Amino acid sequence: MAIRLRDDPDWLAAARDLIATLRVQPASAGQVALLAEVAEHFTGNSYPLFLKLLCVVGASNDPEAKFILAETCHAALRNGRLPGGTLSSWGIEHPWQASPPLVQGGLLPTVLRVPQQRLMPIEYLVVWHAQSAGRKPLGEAALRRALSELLHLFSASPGMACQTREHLRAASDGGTAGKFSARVRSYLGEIADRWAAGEAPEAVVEFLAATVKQSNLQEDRWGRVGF
Amino acid sequence: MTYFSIANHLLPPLPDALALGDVQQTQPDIQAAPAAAGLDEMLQAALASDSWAGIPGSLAGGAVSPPSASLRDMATAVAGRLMILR
Repeated sequence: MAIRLRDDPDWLAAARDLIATLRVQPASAGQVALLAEVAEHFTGNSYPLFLKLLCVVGASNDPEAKFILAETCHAALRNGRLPGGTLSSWGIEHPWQASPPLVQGGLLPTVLRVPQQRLMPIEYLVVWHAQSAGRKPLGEAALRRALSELLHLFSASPGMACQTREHLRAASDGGTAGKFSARVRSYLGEIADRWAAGEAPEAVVEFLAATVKQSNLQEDRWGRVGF
Repeated sequence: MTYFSIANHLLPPLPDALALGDVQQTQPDIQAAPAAAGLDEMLQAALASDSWAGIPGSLAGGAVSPPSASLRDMATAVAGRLMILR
């Protein structure tokens, strides 16, 4: 299905409709299926729009709405159905960035296969911000707002918060070396630990943004001296 | 000369990271390629925007599709607030 963002997307109405529709589902399975159906409209590069929908709920002052969406996310995560987004593997760039005329000509898409990885919401934001993912890195302002709003949302369900932290800790293990850079693995583990320790989402995000900035500065310095 | 050999001549060598880990081999989203740069800017602006500026943060009062509607139709109604679906 071809899709295009409206000139005036009504995020609040979309979030309200989503919550109202989740509420009328008779069972958790229906809620999970609905969330998956909504996410189907935001596949590929438009996955951040699905995240934004989650973020709007996370930023609201409606604890009941946050709870029902976070519980739905928890049920989905338990069943392996939490909608994820795809980014290219670290160090890989999309072919159209390296050679747009060739790709737009239609020749190479048929022979190229760019390795993609499916990432859960928090992983997706961190990788997009801090790891070469073949696209312009997620800016700090967008990271701060989106990640803190997601943490607020997921914190509304103790089960979702706990399982997400477990997922982040597992992702921080060395076994994911082909999926995440060493830096990103350490960030994911730190997010889980600070979140579990009761730090506010804004404090967790502040740590992350500052650490990434410091790390980038150090890399720049090493690069200037020839390493 | 085949497409593969043309690609080998034109593209830089792929890094070792390709050979690591549990990555999936999928086709790139070529449909989005020509507008990728503008799309990313739009996505980043959306994520950075404050949806609740100046209004109460209640999510009550949303519209619900008729009970006879399928889950897919319900989801399309939600997405239709944001996207032009064709």
